[in-house]
Amino acid sequence: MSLEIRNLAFAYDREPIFENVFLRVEKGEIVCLLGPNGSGKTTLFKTILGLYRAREGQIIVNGKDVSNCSRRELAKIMGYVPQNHIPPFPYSVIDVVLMGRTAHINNYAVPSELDYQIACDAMANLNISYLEGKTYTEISGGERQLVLIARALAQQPEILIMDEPTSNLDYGNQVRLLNHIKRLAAQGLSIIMSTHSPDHALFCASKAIMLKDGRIFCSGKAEEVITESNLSQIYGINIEIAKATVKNGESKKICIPVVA
Amino acid sequence: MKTNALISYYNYSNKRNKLKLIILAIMPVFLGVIALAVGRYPVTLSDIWTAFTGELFAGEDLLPAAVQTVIFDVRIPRIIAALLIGTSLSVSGAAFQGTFRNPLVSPDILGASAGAGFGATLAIICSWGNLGITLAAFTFGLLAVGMTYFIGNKIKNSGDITLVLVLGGILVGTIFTSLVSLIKCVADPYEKLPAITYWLMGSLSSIQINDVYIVLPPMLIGIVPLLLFRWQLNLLAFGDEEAQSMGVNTNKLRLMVIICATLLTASAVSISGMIGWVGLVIPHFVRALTGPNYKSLIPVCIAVGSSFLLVVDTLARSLLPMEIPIGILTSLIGAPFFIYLLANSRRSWK
Repeated sequence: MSLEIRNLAFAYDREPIFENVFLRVEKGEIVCLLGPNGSGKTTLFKTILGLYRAREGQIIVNGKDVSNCSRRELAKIMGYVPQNHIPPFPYSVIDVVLMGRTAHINNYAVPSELDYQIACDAMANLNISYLEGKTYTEISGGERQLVLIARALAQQPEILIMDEPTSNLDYGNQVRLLNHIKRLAAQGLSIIMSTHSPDHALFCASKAIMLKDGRIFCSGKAEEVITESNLSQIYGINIEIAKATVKNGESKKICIPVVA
Repeated sequence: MKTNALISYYNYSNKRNKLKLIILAIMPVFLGVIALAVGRYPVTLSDIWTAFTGELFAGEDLLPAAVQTVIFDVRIPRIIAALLIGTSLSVSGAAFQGTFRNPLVSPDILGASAGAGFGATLAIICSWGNLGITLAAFTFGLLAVGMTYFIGNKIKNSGDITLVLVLGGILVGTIFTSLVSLIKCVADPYEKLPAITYWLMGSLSSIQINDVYIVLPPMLIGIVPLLLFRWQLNLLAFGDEEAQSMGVNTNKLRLMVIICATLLTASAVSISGMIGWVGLVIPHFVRALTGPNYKSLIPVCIAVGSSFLLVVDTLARSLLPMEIPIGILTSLIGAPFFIYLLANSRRSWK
């Protein structure tokens, strides 16, 4: 599996929201997208997912242009984990996860026992089996985020696209979620995610891309891209990157904003 | 170990639901037989049995002609109509609520009832007869929703078409209700005006078996696709983009839902007049009963909606010496019941 994005651009009217975006993701890779608010991260994701029609450029999966694929075909390739929100009806968690199976069942069929098994496996993969009978609208924000990931896993895609999966999570859940993401990548999923925390990119990403005003500011290996000068330039604040040695002797980088 | 326990949970809830479903499936039939015996003209259950066996096996009328007429020409058409109307209003309400991602939506959201009301009023003032009223109401109901959809597509400048559709529905609804008021103003106050007012309040008293034959095909065309696509209706509740990312063509699905739900609403209104609250309250009640999943919501809405309307119509024709317009009764029952549901069910919208 490989995903390649060539010269992608999108515009609502004349002014492009983003343009000249190139990106390559291999099997099992985690790509982190960084950029200030309004830099076009979510729009880029939605264009990759085919929800918005690209103005130019190509999205190529396994050497095949997917711009003419049906929704159903696309859904089997790419899974989307949106920022969590509350639907108007109190669905049970298992129902929400089962919705991920829609692309694999007939238009006029309902999920089968097999689909139910796959949904259960997806939940077990994220250690949230205990949520099965709960009501989706009544669980915590962190749990809802995991349910949405389980729903995307039940979809059995090759690529997972996550829009700020760590936002709205408490500190412990953020770290747990990043560990889940690392584990999913190790299982062979390709992951593209956006985040507002460069530390998260350093923690789990193999590649990082910085977006500024709808253009790629820099991209490459996470270690090489996430530098003091790059971060200072895209966010417009002073940031220092410190090296710390943790107890087992490993050296870690952490970002520290400098308050004037 | 853990997984086994969970699977049994799912099976358990499925089994419990199955039992509920069987009870619910029998309910309309059971209530139908009861309703056949209720009314001003006394008919006993054994009369009903004799009448049916006579009709089916002996091929002759075994009862006095008056009883035969009451059973076969008066009550049966009306009972079938009540079941069909209840089904149509509840199912279209449930479908619209999912499509518009709003639990407070009712079947007339796109102007179907207002259009049908105008069609019927026009037919009454022009003296087109019973059949004319049905056909005009049906046609104008469809026309109104067509206008709403056209307006919605014209003025959607970005993204969310549901909001523009709701606005379009309000506009079209207002135009048609104003036209109805205009016709009422100029209508002959001794003959036409009471007929119009009575029609707008909703009643099943003048329904004949021919009316049932007319609306049955559009009702079937409306309900079958909604039953088939009931799983995908769930995904619309999460919004277009999420549904698309899970493989649903939301534009096609929404158009299908609008067409089907409109056929159902217009068919129901065209033979019964305005019957409010059923399409709003029944889906809520059913969500509280068997959950919001459309997999069970649509079938259960059929059972509960048809039973509810049958019971209310039976009350409407037997409670007082005169017939009470059913629209008044459904509102009187529906509104307080809705308050009860709001206070007691799990609210997820805030």
